[in-house]
Amino acid sequence: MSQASVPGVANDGTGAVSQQRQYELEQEAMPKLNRTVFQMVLNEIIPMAYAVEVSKTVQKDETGEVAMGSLSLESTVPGDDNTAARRMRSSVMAVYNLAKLAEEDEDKYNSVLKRIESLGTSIGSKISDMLIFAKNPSISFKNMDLLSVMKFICRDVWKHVFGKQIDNLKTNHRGTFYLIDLDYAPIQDFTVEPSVLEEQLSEEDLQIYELKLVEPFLQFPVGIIKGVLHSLGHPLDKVVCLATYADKPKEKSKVGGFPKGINFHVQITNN
Amino acid sequence: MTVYSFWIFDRHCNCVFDREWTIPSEARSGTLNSRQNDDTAKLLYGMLFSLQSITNKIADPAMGANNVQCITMGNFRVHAFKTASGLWFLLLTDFKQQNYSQVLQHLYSEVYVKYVVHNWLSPVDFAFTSDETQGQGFRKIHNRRFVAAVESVLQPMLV
Repeated sequence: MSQASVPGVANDGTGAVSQQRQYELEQEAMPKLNRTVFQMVLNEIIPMAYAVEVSKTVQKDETGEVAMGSLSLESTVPGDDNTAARRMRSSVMAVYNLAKLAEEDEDKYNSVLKRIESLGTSIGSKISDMLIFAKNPSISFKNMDLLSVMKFICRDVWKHVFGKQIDNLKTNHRGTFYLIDLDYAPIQDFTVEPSVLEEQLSEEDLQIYELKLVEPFLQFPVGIIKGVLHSLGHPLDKVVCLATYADKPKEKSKVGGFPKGINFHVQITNN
Repeated sequence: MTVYSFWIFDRHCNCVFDREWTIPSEARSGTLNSRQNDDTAKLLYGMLFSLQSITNKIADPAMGANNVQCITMGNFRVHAFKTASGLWFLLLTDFKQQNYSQVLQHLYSEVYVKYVVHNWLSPVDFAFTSDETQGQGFRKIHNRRFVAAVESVLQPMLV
């Protein structure tokens, strides 16, 4: 076999090619994780965050004995007078927690979102460190301006965490960015299950309720964005990030998947 | 070939999904998760359950899984598919086609797994409390994308 036929090892003398090859080999050697399992763990964070928040308040309110009880799976929702809920089987806790979370008052709801976001933030900053450590020759972290940081999030971070890139990045060049992901991967198969609800809702109300249930799931990527920005020199208090639903373009909405895309609005104030 | 109805039973002996087409040529006809079908569901599951326990007794356990796959009656056939997690997928059809195992496998892997298992807004287990196990459950899979996917798989087979 002639040496030139081996891709990436052509002896052209430049370091760039072999560097790229080196990076690829290192990436191949990294341990792999099943995407499905990873996504399940990601999704489970959201109902879990609520359960943690609930058991925290119970520990504050009542005696230590009850707090101990709250750790067992059969009664993750103590403080709830409904006896049926107490006997709730652990296999349905995730759905139950999500439904409860959607009914919470604003303070509690926001504190759960905050918790999810902070989980995302710490993972986000770890991911950016991991990507910097990987020494991908096509990304240069030196003299990075804001736009290239955003591009790094859209391309590399998103690809690593969600398996795809952000679909669209818009900016006004004054610190405002819109990152639009039309099919945000973790929520693609989500649909509200009407038989779980106690009352019957009309088709329209169901869809509104569905969007409300999915909302907490968007706080995790918000945290990731903030975490990456934080580790690349934009402190958390200078960054505002909000996730809202975006309409899909017509040709995309026919394909299926979750009916809405996600629009991440990132606002960075300069000092 | 015609499909008459499609049923899913969970491991608590509850019927979690049923769809029956009453007029074969009309895709929109029939019932979906109907209370009227409760008795039929119980009879169907009872028959399957008894057959399964008989086959388990007759068969040599060393031979591995020995599930009921097909029951043929005078007028129709019941195609059954059992998952290791204890779900039963049943399809009632006429005699034109021998084997529906691929269809049932598809309904499990591409429809059930996608819109129930990967759907965090839906429980995987429809018996919420211990009162709802052992055939006492009443909750059914009713989410719109699951229903739509089942329809799109089975409707072409109605003719």
